[in-house]
Amino acid sequence: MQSHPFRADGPPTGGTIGKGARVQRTFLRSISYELMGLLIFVAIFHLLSAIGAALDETGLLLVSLVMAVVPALLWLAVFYRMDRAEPEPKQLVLGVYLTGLLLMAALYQPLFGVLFAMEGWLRVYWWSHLLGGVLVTGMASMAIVYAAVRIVAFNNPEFDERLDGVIYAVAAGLGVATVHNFVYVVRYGGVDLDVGSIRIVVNALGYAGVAGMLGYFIGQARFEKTSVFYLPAGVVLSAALLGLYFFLIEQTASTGLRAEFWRHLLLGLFLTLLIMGAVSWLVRRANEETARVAQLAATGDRWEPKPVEIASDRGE
Amino acid sequence: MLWVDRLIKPSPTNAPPSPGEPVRNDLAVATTVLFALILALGVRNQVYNAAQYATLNDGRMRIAYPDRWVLREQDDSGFTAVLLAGSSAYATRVEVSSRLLREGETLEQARFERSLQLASELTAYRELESVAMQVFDGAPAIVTTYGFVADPMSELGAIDLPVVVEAQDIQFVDDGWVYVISLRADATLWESAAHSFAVVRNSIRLRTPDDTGSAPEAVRGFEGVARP
Repeated sequence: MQSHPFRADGPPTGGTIGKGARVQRTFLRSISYELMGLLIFVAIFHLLSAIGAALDETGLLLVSLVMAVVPALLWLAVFYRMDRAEPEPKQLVLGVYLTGLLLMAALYQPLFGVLFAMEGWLRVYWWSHLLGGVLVTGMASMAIVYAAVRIVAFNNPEFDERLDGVIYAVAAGLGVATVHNFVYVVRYGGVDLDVGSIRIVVNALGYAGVAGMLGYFIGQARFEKTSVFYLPAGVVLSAALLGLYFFLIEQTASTGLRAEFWRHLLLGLFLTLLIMGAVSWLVRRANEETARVAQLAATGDRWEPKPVEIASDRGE
Repeated sequence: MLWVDRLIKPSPTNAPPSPGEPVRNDLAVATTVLFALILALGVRNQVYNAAQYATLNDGRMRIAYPDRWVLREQDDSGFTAVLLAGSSAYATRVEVSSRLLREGETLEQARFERSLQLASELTAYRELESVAMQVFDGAPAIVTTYGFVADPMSELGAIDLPVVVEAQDIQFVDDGWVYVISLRADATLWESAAHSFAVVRNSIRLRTPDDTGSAPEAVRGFEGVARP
């Protein structure tokens, strides 16, 4: 944590291979704990759903607003477990979370309500739902995640390994998700505690998971020379994943007139595990490759590009 | 796979980013996001403008209605298209009717007759505004905005509160026929139905007279009488 990644005596590493494997295991274990925590959160509110009927409108709104924040806090708590060998400063993670939250809060109504007026057209056709989800919700949310990490954490010396990119981006994604959850709760004047808790968890899972993917790209750009297309590709890929995530969830979660909210949750859990697994694998491979190249450089070997094998495949 | 290799190792030599690279990346990301949002505006407009067409009077008239609306009660002189998936008991709709222009009859007289008819048929009919406009290649039209109370659930045999409906009639003469295009929606949903109604209005090229951009001239109002 204390060493700067751009060392004068060698190339930047952005993490070491031995540490990478350890971080990898901790990462996956922490994600599992997080998912368990979220399931417990849903189960508690499901069991307590009868309380909702006893609350007046203000009480329900207050409980719902607390619900909107809990998944984000659970995630943030998990990061400290995940990153306990080299924990990121709490203020920095919180700063990224709040920046993501404030940016989304400032832009939510002007962007989604006024400029794009999403309610009027998003769900009219399946293709408008998918494209709108990717191009508006996805791109705007990922741009905010990128901006939050870039403004608050990118140039900070504490950002000293690739996984930090994932952590800060997930924190920013949770800020974005918190605003979406607030809006959801306020729009309906409080929510049913059982159904609402599922919806809120699904939102948090989606934004956190996909922001993690963008965080991988940000982490790479922090430590390595990248092409001009690298980060835009990361934003586009993450936005596409986010749009697809919510599209799949809404398309598969209802049968006829009845909405199956548990399907929301199960699919959300599955997709988040898939995305987080991919991010975890990418971080590990990137760290391994970096260590390999650094070792070659240290032993005096020179990096050479591999010849492209074309002729043999064509049978020429 | 080259793209996966590039994804994992953007710099094969571990070269650190140059000092100007973060700013370059910022600009690249901003450009990409801006491009995507412009594309999204295109998608939105595509949804708004998606339309179907109904033809009247042996193909003399062709009027569009939103693609996702359902056509009802179509004959050669008119049709009704409704939005079934709306949130109000009163479905947002367009009702089109036509008849032959009588000898010596003017558009103003036709409008007056229409207002009398609505006042006698609708509950709590209130005419709010009537303005002169143009359709197609400059043909005069009168656009009348009014309100009334409907009770759609009682028609279905259920008990519910009545609905205040906001409506706008576009009346014009074309090729010896008087056309009335009536756009109607629950008053609370009138604003949100604007994009759907624009599909209908655009298909007849409804505009202010001579495209002056000035406020359209008010037509003498009809004092609506509430039906008891």
